[in-house]
Amino acid sequence: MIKKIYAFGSSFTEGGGFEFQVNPTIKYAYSNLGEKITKFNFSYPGQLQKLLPNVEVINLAKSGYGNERIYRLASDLVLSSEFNSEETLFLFEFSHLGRKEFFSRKLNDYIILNYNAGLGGNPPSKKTRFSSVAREYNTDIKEVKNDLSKLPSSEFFEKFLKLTIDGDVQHELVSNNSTIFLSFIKNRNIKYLLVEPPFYVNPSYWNNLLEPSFIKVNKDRFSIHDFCKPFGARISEETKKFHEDEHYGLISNKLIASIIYDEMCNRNFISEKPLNKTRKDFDDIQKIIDTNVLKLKGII
Amino acid sequence: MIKTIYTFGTSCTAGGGFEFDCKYRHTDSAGFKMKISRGEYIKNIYSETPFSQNHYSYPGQLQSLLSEYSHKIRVENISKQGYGNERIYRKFFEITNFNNFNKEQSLFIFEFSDLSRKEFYFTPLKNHVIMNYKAEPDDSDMKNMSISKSYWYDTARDYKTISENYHIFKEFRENFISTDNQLIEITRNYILFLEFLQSNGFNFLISGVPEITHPKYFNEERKWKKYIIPFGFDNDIKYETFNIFADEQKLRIQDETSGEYGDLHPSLFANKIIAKMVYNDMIKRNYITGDIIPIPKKINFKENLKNTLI
Repeated sequence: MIKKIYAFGSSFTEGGGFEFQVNPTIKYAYSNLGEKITKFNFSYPGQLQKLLPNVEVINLAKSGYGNERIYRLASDLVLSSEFNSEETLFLFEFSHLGRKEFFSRKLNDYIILNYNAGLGGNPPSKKTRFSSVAREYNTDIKEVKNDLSKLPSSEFFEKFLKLTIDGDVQHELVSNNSTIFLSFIKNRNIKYLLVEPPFYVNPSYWNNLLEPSFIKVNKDRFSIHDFCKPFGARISEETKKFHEDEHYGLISNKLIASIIYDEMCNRNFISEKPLNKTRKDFDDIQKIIDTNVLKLKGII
Repeated sequence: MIKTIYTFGTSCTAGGGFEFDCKYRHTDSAGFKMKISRGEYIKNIYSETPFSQNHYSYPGQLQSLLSEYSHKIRVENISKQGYGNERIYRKFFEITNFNNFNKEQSLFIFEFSDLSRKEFYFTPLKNHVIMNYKAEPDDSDMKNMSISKSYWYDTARDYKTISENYHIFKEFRENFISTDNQLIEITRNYILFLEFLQSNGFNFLISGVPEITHPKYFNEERKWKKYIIPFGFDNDIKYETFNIFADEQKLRIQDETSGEYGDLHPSLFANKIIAKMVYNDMIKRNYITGDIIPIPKKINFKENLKNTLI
């Protein structure tokens, strides 16, 4: 039986958009819901924790960061002597391009370089554009300034990016590294579910590495982004643009958590019955958020 | 049945020291630039033909050996001087993701590296380049580094383009390459790659282990011993890395040429017997059929030199 769940991914898994310490006004939009006002609780791993009180859910996702952080943290957990593969489940939200991790000697920590990979457009522009660099996004401004003062200038990152990043080459690298990583996890008999699968891995590895770990919703494979697209899943929509943020809202994260919960039941990872929840089951929550927002806007 | 052997690694696998096609003027052991090119200089020392870097490498010699014993096996030498594990992983996928690739008929032999090598894609040349740097445990040396697309073969344009952007790589090295962290990442990636190979049923052997691994992962190393080819003379010490065997047994180019050509890569003689050791190991593991070839001692060490008095 599963006793520990580790969630890995980007801001979508971390609970991006719910930075209550940076934007304290958001909490008013989500008041009267009986929810603990923490980023973790508003993330889908946090909501999964509520559904699984006897399981420890640890959220290792971090805004801005991507697959390289997943490989690094998950591998080191597996390679540590205390790791118990029988009782552990990994949840992976893979990302794609636009994220490059470096270890800063001066910060003695990793930083993330975010960029636009330039693969969009027809034909693709192929031009990468620097977006930002940080050790931690959405943190105290003083800390951010302190971090940035120890890093090279943004001009350096722009030049470095222009010199060394090519969308196609990075795509190959991401594809290869995801394949290596998942093969390692598989070789160690570790249970994992793909919240956002790395669809870009070579098709010859799909049967072995991806298919068995898809989360299935209505017979379709689950992708957090595909699943959330059709309904007003984002914080902007959930709060009627009171809080403009493109991350998934509380209802989406509750729904994602319940889908993962059901998948765990179906795979006998836990001895419970599936919840079979749909978006409609959360209409009451949406009503409370709507009321909160109307009050905040001074309409009622 | 194996039909293709792919060898991966650094200059030691590439036939380092035997750059017959190098057009750069050779620098002699006293540091003076000679009138002839490095390629011409080497041709003046050795006699065995063809004069190609690959033929003088152990994979080239393995190819000759396989042909001599009537094995219809092709040896593809994928290694490159200066480069390390990052290139190995990249090239491995280039080969195996190809539609016609046949896993059961392929054997991979890896010479893994460790610190001092960092690969980048370099957009101005639309190619990868390698940064070789001095990795001190306390990161005290930030000066010694070089970048090349292809050591000994870079064109004037390659050299100029790299030089113009050298300062960016230098700044990267100073800010983002820490020896300890690099060692963690390199060791972790090495373990993951081996697990990937095992998990997906690839046929593979190791001709060189990383010289140094991070203590954090020491427990993982013994798992991979069974894939390592032992290198050494009969009833003598066995090494886990072929170039260490050549180093320790004084079978380097410098030794073969009595110091005339001061290159520290495995000598032609070394590459010949290393190829035999690989060949014998393949027989023992049933990758090929045949009889074990005796490994010669140092008796004909200088047989391929034009002037054996060197």
